Formats: sequence, C-alpha cells, structure tokens
Amino acid sequence: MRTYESVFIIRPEVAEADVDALVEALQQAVTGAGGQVVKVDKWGKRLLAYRISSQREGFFVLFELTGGGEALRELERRLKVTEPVLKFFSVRVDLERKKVEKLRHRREHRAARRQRAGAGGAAKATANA
Amino acid sequence: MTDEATVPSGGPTRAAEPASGGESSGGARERSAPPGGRGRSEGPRRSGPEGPGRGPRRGGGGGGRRFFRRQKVCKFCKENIDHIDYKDVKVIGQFIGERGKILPRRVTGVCTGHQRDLKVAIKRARNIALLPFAARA
Repeated sequence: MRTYESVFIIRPEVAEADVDALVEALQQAVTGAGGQVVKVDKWGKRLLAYRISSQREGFFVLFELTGGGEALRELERRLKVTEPVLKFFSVRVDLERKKVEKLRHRREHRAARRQRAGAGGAAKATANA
Repeated sequence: MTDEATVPSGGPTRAAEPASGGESSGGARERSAPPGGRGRSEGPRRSGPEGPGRGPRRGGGGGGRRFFRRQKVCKFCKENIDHIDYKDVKVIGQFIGERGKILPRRVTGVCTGHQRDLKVAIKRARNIALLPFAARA
C-alpha cells in the first residue's frame, strides 16, 4: 500500500460548482481503480509562478490517496484527458513520512533519555544533601 | 570683535571636520557592502588581496562585517524541521534568489543534508508553479 500526493491546477475561469463536480468525478475514478482518496484540499485560486498555457492563475487542488500504482495511474490518465486541468504533479509520500517518523522518534527517545539522566543526577544530589 | 568672532567660528568648523570625516568613512563602508552582499563574489573576495586593504579603512568595521556574516546556523536543524515540504512556499521561498535560483549553502548557512532536501523541495515546487524556474530580476 502506497500513499501519494497529487496536486493539480484547474483553469481559473471554471466555476466553483464545476470544480467540485470535477473533484468528485476524479475521486470516483480513484476509488474505481482500487484506491482511496484520504484527503482533498482545495487551496483555491492562487497566482502561478509562471504562465501555463497563457494563464497567470489557477485553482489548486491537492489529493492524498492510498492504494497501488494503478489508482495513481488512473488518476493521472484522467487528469491528462480532462480539458480544464492545466497541470498536475504527483509524489509518493509514504517513504518520506516513514523517514520523518523515524527521525522524530529518535529525537524524542534521546530527549527522554537526557531527561532521565538529568533527573537521576538531581536525585543523587538531593540524596547527598 | 572681529578677531574674537573668527576664533569661535574656527572652532566649530574644525570640530565639524572630524565629524564629516566619520560620515565619509561610513559612506565608504556602505559602498563596499553591496559587492560583499553579492553571494558568489563574497567568498573569494574575503581571502583576496582586497581583504587586508579593507581592514584599516574600516577600523571598527571588522566587527561590523562579522555582524553581517553571522547567523550561519542551519535553519532546519535549529527548528528541528525533518522534512522540507515542497508545498510550503513561505519556507522554501527564503532560499531562492530574486532570479529564482537556489541560493548556495555558503550564503544561507544550510547544512549539507538539508540543502539536498531543500533542492528536491524547490524543484518540486517549481514543477507545479509554486516557484518560478526563472524570475525576472
């Protein structure tokens, strides 16, 4: 099971309701391909850093999906053939998250050990007193 | 009367001379600052022949330069940021120049590992038009 993050940019002139419909359709496409959309995040309209097909702004939507590669492939295929989508970009995030989790865990572990050592020293000091 | 008047008037002008001299040296410091601020020329310049020539002119400026060059601690290490997210334009945007180029480590002070993560994040952000590939200066 993999987790992907997919960001896509929709043409700015598309109405809000149509964006919702589009998002809904894409979600169903993912589910149909055996994946699951975990999170949908609409960033709304923002300025593009560069022009894409002579557009200066776009409506950004973020999908987070779990499932195999087929789910992502289906989503990307749909995005490619959907007219109002300017650009899309997908990354696999589960491995990175695992790494981050490991780092965080290690840091907490270290902090706890340091604290325990500090507390032990303090206890000894009070015993001596 | 006139003699007396000229003597005090001479006093202030003489007193003003060192003050104006101080201002001009301050101006020189300001003028010499921009080339140092340009990232790439900064490194070689310091060890270059201009280095010793600069010292005496500045006097206390050595302290000023040190002040200018400090804060060389990796931002990500300091704030315990494990993962640099490509969506976080506010953070990533600090590490690109006005032309949209990735700033070198020697300018920003980011550590090796985090610079690599940063590079990946910036390149991803460029891919979805959150950051420019090339910005107009």
